[in-house]
Amino acid sequence: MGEIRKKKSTGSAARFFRVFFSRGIITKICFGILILFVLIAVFAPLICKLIGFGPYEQDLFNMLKKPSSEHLLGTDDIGRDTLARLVYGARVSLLTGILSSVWAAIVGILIGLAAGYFGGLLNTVVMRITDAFIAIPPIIFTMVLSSMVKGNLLGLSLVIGVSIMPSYIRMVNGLVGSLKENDYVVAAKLVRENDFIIMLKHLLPNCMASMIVTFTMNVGTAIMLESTLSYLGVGIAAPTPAWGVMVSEGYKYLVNQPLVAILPGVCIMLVVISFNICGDSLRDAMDPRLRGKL
Amino acid sequence: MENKEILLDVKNLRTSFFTESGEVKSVNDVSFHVNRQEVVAVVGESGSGKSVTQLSVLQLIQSPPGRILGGEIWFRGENLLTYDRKKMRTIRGNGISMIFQEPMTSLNPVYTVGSQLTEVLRVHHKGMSRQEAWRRGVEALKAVGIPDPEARMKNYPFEMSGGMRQRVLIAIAVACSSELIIADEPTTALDVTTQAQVMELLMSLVQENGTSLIVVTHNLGLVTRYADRIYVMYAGRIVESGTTEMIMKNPRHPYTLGLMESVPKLDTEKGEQLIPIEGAPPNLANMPSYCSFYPRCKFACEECKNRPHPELRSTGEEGHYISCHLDVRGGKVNG
Amino acid sequence: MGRYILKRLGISLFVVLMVSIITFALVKILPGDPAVLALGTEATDEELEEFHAKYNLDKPVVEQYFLWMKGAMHGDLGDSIKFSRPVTVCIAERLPRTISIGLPALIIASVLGIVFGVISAVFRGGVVDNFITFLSTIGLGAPQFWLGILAVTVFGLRLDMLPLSGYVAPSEDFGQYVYHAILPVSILAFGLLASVARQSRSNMLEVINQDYIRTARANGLSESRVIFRHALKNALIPVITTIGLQVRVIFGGSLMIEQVFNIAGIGSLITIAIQGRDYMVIEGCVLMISVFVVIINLIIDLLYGFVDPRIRKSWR
Repeated sequence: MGEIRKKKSTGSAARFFRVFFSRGIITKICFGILILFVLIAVFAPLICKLIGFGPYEQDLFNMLKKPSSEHLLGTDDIGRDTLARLVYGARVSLLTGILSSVWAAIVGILIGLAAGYFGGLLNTVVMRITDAFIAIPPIIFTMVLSSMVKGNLLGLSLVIGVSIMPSYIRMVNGLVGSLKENDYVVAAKLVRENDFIIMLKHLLPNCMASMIVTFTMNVGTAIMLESTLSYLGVGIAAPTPAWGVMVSEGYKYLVNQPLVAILPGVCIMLVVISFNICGDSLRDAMDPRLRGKL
Repeated sequence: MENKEILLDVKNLRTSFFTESGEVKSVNDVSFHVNRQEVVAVVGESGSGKSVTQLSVLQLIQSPPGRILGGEIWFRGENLLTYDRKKMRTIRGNGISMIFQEPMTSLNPVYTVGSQLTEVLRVHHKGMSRQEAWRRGVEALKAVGIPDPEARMKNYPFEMSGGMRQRVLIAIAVACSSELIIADEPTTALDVTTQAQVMELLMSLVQENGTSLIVVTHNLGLVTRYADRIYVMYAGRIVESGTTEMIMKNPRHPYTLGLMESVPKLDTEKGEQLIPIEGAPPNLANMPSYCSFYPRCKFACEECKNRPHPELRSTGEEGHYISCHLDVRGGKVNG
Repeated sequence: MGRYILKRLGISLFVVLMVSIITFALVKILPGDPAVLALGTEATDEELEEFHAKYNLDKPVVEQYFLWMKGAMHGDLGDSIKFSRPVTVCIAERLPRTISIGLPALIIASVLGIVFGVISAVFRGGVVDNFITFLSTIGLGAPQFWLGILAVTVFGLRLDMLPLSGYVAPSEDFGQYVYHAILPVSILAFGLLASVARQSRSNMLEVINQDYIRTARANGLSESRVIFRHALKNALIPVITTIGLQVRVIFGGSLMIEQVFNIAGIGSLITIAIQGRDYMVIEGCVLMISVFVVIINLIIDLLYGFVDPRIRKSWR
């Protein structure tokens, strides 16, 4: 029996990876891109040592230089090495994206779980407040709040977290609404298990697949929000090498030295697309029935 | 049964699905025929290729991954496989109608029953007026025993029960007076009392209109009551065919025998057990060179494994064919 | 049906109420005294007090909220500090510009998005499908501000085909309006188009595999009839929701688009207001946009009933 079970679980893991990569080369590439950017972000100081320039090092004799053996991707208007700034930009974007999605997940899932489980008036009110949050465009919402955090990464991640929280609340709430009618939940209630235990032991694990998918996609959304805010000058504060900041600084020199503004945009696009596509493939791999719902 | 004119004659049909894990030979050299005004049953487990065979007849195989690789499908003296798409459409719903297993989802949820019924009528009868199509539609609903047909025409599918929806699907088939109706597991999704009603309805319509009927089912019990002839399918091939009487009284293929032992009968004596067929159907993507039933056959011997898959051969009785090397009778191997 | 509409209306009102509270709270938690920001640090206490009294800032927060709501219901959203004019006037002045960019973008994106999505699904796996999927992936992943500045550089500076920025009202000179609006509308529409196309494609693929589509084919209906009459309606019903959601995206996107193309619309008004802590303007704009979004959602809910009989019948 134990053997059979083991076989089955390895089988489903194998199936998971097969389906995850079954969209072919695209998913593999996107997964590779994500791994690459994570590695870049983690080893940013090391990489900067290798290329010989830090993200803040100005070189006023080498301003707006084209790529050369010295500055592999050229320099910006005050002679900072573009590659070094891009490398540190990966740190900023990934950190903000993942942190905000984590905050949103923790709070959003708890709220959605409780509201869905207890139902009734509480559920109605919570969901309508969520609707109200959703009615405000996230970029405006975060822009107003971001003036409070003054370019601080942690603060910005909290602000972005609040704005993407409704997606978790809605997702968990919808799932719990249908799950709680299931026999095993009703049975748990009948034997008077603690509400809290029921939620954590019976409901939460069943939301796992959807949660991981939502999380993955939300990291992409959060990174997009962060870079937009940084571009508009209300996100990460200026000397810090955020990709959005780099685009806005490089804008003026787009004709002479386009790389300064183009490259950070490409990075944003690659990372966001990779998160989206990996999210899609994860969804297909975990539960094909979720297709079109998440 | 006096009228032995052949209506549908399928010869050496082969349909495969090309999937990641290889070519799945769902229909592997299948031949069968249906006479006018005859009721034929195709019996087999799920995955035996019985539904795909019928979908192939109407060329409704989803492509890709499916493809009809070869064979001939003669209907009213013409080979349907030589038809182009446009000509094929004049056969679908008009010459041959198909009724599917899932009445709950087989009607479009956003159009009324009347709209779907008259649409088919008007597609096949160019120049038929709306009023005429409506009148014919009401008649068809009346013919399938739907009470208050005028009102029902204006209903949406979700306002009807499963049995009612299956009647509507039958009405669509009947309205265009097709010569052949293919019913793919028509009663499987319905509850037992409705099952009998729907089958009785189908039978009476067939008899009244002189239509031929193919019933695809896994339920041998259903077949014995209604069918004139039976084809038993296993792993994409026909393994036994003959009149209902021959097959019921004298099944000769081990698989048919197994099927009959696994069906509960009214005269089953107390204590007598139903015997399931051990094992699972073979993987159609990876078929053995020998008899495909060999791994599950309780009569199998070494000899079976050394020879290629058995051809259909006559049992000696006229019109009774099996594909088996052995001579199995009454649960024993003879000679 | 009347009951259903009433219920939806009640829910929408509640959501609007919540929106107003959130908006008000959002602005209230911002640090800093608007009076100091407006009058400068040299302002005397008397001037500051006068300012507070003028904008009701001396009253308790709850009372401020009720005063604001009371005004809003009478069409008065207070005065802008920076522009020294009623917020409603500021909005009325700028809203047409945002709409004249946003509405064409929405229409183009919806129509093309549905067409592309359906084509993509019908020719699944083909070259066209791959191309459309590629485009919509880019559309969803590329930052709008970045696409905007690239487009300006390429079409405006390098090719000198289109103006770099600016805006001309369609009522003034329609030709000039189109000339100036091409880039901002295209950039705004691109992202929307991607979402609509993606949604249409996946819905269409799901519907094409439904049993009733097989029935339609088995009944001898032509492929075009199967696709356009039977599949399309079922696939497009959920797309209405997606399109409705894009209204919010348009207002959000207008912030970037108006910044890049230098258009004095609602987006740039909000940007200015946030930078200058023009509280009444922030509150007014956010409230206006949210109410607009809620109303659109309400309309979509009701529209659903007209296109989907299952929902229409459940109203009774």
